[in-house]
Amino acid sequence: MEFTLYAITGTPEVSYKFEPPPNARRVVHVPLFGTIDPAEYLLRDLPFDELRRRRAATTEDEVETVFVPLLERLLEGLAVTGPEIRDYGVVVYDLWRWFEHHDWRRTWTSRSVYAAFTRREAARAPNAQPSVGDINIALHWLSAFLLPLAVPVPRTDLVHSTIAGFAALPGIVAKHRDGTPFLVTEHGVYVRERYISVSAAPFSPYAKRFLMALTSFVARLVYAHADLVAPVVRFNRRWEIPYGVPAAKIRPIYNGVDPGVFVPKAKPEATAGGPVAVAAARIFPLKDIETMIRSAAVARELLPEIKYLVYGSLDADKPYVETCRALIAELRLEQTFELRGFHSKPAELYTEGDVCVLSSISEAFPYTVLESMSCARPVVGTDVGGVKEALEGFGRVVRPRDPEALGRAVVELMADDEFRRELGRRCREEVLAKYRTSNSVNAYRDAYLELTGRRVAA
Amino acid sequence: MTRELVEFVMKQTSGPIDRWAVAATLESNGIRDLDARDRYGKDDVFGLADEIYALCLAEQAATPVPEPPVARRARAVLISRRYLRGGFFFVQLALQLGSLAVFGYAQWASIDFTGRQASVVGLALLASFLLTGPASQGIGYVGSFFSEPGKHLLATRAVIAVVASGLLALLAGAVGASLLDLGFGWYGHRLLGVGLAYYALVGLLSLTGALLYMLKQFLAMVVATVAGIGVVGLVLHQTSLGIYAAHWIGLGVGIAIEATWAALVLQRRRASTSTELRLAVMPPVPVLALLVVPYGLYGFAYFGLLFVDRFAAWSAGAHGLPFTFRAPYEVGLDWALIAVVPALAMLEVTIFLFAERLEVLAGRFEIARVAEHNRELLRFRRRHFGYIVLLLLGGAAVATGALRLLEHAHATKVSGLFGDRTMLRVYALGLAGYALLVFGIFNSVFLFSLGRPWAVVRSLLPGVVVAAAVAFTLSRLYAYWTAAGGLVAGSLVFALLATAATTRTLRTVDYHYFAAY
Repeated sequence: MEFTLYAITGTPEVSYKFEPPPNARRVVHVPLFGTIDPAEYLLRDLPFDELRRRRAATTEDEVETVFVPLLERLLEGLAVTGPEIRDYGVVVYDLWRWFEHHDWRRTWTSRSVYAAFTRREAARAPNAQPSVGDINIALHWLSAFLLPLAVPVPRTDLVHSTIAGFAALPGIVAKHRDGTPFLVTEHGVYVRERYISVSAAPFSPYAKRFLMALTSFVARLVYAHADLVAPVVRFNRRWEIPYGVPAAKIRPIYNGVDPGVFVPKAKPEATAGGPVAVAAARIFPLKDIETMIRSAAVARELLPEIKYLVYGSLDADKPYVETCRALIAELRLEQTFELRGFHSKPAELYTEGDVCVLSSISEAFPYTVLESMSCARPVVGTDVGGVKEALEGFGRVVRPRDPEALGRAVVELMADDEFRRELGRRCREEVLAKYRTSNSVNAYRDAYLELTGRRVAA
Repeated sequence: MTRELVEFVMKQTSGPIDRWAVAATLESNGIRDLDARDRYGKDDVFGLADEIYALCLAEQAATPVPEPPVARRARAVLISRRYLRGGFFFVQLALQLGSLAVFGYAQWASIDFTGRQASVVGLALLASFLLTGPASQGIGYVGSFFSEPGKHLLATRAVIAVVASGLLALLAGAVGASLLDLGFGWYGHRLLGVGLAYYALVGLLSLTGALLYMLKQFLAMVVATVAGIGVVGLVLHQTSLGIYAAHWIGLGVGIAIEATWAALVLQRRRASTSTELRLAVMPPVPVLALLVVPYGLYGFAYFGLLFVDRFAAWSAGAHGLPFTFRAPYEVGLDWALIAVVPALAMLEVTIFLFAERLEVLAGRFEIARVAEHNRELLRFRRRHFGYIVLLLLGGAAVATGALRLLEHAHATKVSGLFGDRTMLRVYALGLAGYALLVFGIFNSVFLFSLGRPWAVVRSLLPGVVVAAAVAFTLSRLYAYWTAAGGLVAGSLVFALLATAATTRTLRTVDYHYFAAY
């Protein structure tokens, strides 16, 4: 099985976190921002003659008669929420075909495109008119987010997108051109995560609305073209279904961990003396470390010798780290609650404790839960995202932002050594049965074989 | 109960855009379907979101948007600094001319030059500025193209490449001049060698100066100029090496200071480049070249328009040399240039305020009122045109007054020239020519800001052609000094074309603002 990878990033200046495996034949890097003209980076391998030919072909007349109608259809699609959204896939395909032979920058900066866009957006919401600057930024966004349409789409047996967003656009192209089967995986729900970050961004209301309309349009379009939507957690369905995915097309494929790396071990000498709760979390607000700190105060009331050791980068949100430190001081928890920073060996950290704590207010399907379970350490976690799906029967699930419940649940598990160890053993068995990396990989392989007709669905 | 949720959502989103935004925000705050049911009596988070969204809308309607405060003092300081930067080139000019007037020598000039010497050195200077003009503009463009986003490694590489192209142009010019001189035997080996030395050194100095200008190292340029002039004086008075050697050593010192300073600044910026931006890769050379070409052409045409009348004036009449330096002509033009300095300095302010105005107005006008928005920016140009006219008038008044004073003062080593009739005529023509040139550049500023360098080139090139034609025709038909009429005619063409292009552009400035970036 060989892969061509599309890496969609913000800017061109990125490096690999993991080297691509040998069967990744090619990596097509598409930075959405950071260049004025894709010829600077994305299309840098295009022969200059071809670039010149495309520029010459991109006349104002040609743009007006061929491209602008496509653009108008696309903008019309931004308001569509029903199943007829699928009809707009061909627009995406036609846009891609246009850019096979025409210049990206010259097209988007043509007067006809600007005029058509302005006309359309002014008419969209007569009561909430965009400003001149809004139009400027919105059209820039449109041309930036559609950049995956500027690159060739190879003929493959299957397209697998890891997000229901702009990175999945080549899947729609392949579906229309070759009828290629299309699998979509979702970790967090893209449209939901964009809602959170775009809402909090300093954009004008119009700009936010436009960006979310475009994002939702693409998400709906991707869902409508996917043959199978495989979220990493069932929880995602609550967003996927209202965005148009039939329940029958959703089949979760859970993440997996390597049980050979995350192995159960006795606690090291340093922490063997007393009850220890560990946590693996970057220190930032979505992890709600404040609630974890308060829960430590609750737990200490009941079990004075208890310790919380928190491992995770202190660089993600420095002011928040200071807030946490101040709270630790305020509650006089210096001897109980330690922010230990980044742990160089994640596989070792869980076995430093007796239980693992997760206090997040938002998650998809957190690895930390599976890793801890694999190390036979039960987890006390908040009821967010897919945490309950993993922990039901294998740990304790409490309401988010409830330090009392979190602290008591931790103490409860600490108090009964035998039950806790038994629960730990069951956690380990559950991981071996359901959450191995190989389970996850096999599930994807099976989905590939099934979608390409090489194997019938079980 | 819902009150605090409304407050939370309003704080997180500064006004949610729809129910989905509210639902996502609530979920991210740990609200579950269970909570929506048990605590808020709704079916699920989405049902709760509908209610919260309605409450947020009511809230938004009630809250007025506060006007951002204006920091007047800080702005005044900012604008003054822009003005001073705009007038910076005058500091360099004043140092050279002042030194020439007071001491009798500058970094590359001397009042003791014979006619032949002045001709060769003058020609060398014109040629070196003309041939390094494209590279100087190119340095400015590619330098900021890469430096502004912080890609200092690429900025350094690109700038080195452009400097190399400038050196190549200088070399080609030197070879051309040598061949011409071999063929025609105009100056002879010795004088040709002297000319080429000035040509090469001044060319290098203008390249290092362009580097420092791009890096905004104004102090370094002043230090280099003062040191260079100082060294000329030192060598001239303390050794028996003579004026040529003094100039060459002085120029060498200036180049060394500027180049070292620029290298140090670039080195420091490279070292401070973020790990991420160290990964930046150079765009394909043809793509980058296409971007730089109009700036290079502008650099060449700009110096072409500035100098072509001098070529005509110097070559008119029979003086035994193909080009003969004429002091009254030079002083007339230089004095006229000084008169337009206050107006030229204003252009930096115009660029700055125009960019600011574009952004402010873009946020203020709804797209339905775009015509009004564009008219507002046309009015901005008219207003600034008014400032420029006032500054030109003021500058001309001061320069003319000073000229009258100097005519009678005999205070400097070149005072004799100030009463010269030819000089006064050239001064008058120069004043008109430079004023028109300022109008042309003033309009070009808008075109450059809106990413339309080709529109500038298209306005400037016809101006150069007209200037050349008029200067050569007049200087052959009438007296040599009438060549300055070429500057007037060429600048007029440039000013008219640039004004028309800018008017067209500003009429749809919203579009051009979009298309520029």
